[in-house]
Amino acid sequence: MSTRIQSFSMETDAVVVERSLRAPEAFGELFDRHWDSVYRYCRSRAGDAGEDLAAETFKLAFDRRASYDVDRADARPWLLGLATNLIRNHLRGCQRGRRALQRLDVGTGEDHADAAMGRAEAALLGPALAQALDGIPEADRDALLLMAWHDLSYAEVAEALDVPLGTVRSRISRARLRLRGRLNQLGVTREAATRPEGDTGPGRAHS
Amino acid sequence: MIEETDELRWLKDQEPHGAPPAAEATGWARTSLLLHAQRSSELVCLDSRRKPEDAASAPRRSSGAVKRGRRWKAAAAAAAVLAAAAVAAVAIGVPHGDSDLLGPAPASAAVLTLAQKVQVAPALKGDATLVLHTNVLTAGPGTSITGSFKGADLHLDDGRYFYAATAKGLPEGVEAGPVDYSLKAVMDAMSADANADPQTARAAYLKAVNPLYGGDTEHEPGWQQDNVIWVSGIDLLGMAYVRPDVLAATLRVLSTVDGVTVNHITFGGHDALAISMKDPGSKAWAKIIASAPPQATAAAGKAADEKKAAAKAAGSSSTEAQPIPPHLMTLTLDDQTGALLQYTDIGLQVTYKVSRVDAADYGVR
Repeated sequence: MSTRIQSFSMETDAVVVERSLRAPEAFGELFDRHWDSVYRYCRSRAGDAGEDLAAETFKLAFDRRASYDVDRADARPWLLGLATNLIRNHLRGCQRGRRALQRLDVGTGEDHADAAMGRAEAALLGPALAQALDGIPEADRDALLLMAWHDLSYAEVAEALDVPLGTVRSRISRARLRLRGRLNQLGVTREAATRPEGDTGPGRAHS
Repeated sequence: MIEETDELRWLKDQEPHGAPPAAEATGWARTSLLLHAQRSSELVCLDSRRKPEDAASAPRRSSGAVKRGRRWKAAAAAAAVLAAAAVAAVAIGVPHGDSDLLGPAPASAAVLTLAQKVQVAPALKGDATLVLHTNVLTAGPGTSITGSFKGADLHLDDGRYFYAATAKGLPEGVEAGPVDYSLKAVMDAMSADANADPQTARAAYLKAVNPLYGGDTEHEPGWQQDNVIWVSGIDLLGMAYVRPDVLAATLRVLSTVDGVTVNHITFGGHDALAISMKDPGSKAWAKIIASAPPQATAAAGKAADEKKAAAKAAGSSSTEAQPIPPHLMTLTLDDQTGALLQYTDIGLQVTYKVSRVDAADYGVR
């Protein structure tokens, strides 16, 4: 038994995914390998809602495992790509909710539309990040954050977002230019931008 | 001055570093995944003619008594677990996608019966539907907003939509112009598919509503599609009061939403259907299952035992965690006419009064 477990643990993600087509419970092994990473990504992008989105990512991955490209040994980019789509949909859902509330002329002395937006934003980007990333298109932002926060290579970002490598290069290049300009505009100094590890400055951390 | 590469460093420093996933979060996520895998696999393996590797991506379509029996076994197991969690429901919905295998669930049947009733209802006069709603907001889990307000929606048959806080204010709302939110395309699609089976109507609905909801609705996970149907369906049911064909088709679509339950009740002296849906996007469902006491899972049979084992393997404290109340949303409809009567959600109760009117009476030219 232990030999079998050991041999499984040495399998690539691609082999595990393939095996899960015959033995669905094997997908649990993929969960064990990548849950922390997907959870961290979803939490960083969607705050508290990230927990549900991370769980949903694995269900979606299970449903789509038959289409997984077995030439890709590491499933992490694929999973992060699925998570990115779910996060986008979630954010659109928040926007839908905001629009729905805006339709209502509440008149109770409180701006419910802003309240709903506030709840969503509280779980998302803090003020420093929100200002810095403002104006960077969604697709460019996704690519940039996958690289900056999750150490994905250009090729892995391309795999995650299912776009050509050249597209990823141009998206990230464009996003970095905009970010640099925005930081200059906001008066962020080079010292602040390169402060030592552990000093996260004006940003905020999820609890 | 920020220079090249510095901005990446700044961005990395800003990454929200939260705590690693708690054991409980990991436990319910893993359990939820395994339940999902188990449910999907049971459905796939029902067709023994198909090879497993093909079956994994195959459409879940077939028919026969074996599948019917399997479905009720799964429903019974789920019912036992739910009962243990003290959740009252008259029927358990089934995952969408397999209703074509197994016939309608009891909850779906009640909605479909109403659909048949409204389809033969006589046409009503007027060229617009007026939906007056009173909204009461109360504090509850996840919301601290309190207050109440009224609203008046005027939906013209030609697709235009006007809004005002009251019916008296509608002429002013009409003067201000139509609101940019119209489900006319969905109404047209439902009208064209008035006699379609529920799954076909669902597909048509999602295709039609797609532009209003980000353009990718058809490819979203089922629970997100259900959310879109539920949210937009409430508006559509109000608008479709005058259109029996649309109302009937919309009700058929509603019958496909996962986890729907139905109660027959009396509301304001009328026979009514209370259609409820648990928010499947939350972790409530998995937590309830994971926290079910051992005797309940034993009664639920082998399937529930496997779920419990999965929960244990995932590291969740199945006997210690407390059940949390599900996020329940309830839509109440007149059981004869399909008219929208009430909607309740956490911290929200909306009461409706729907009628047919002449748009000209409200200043529409």
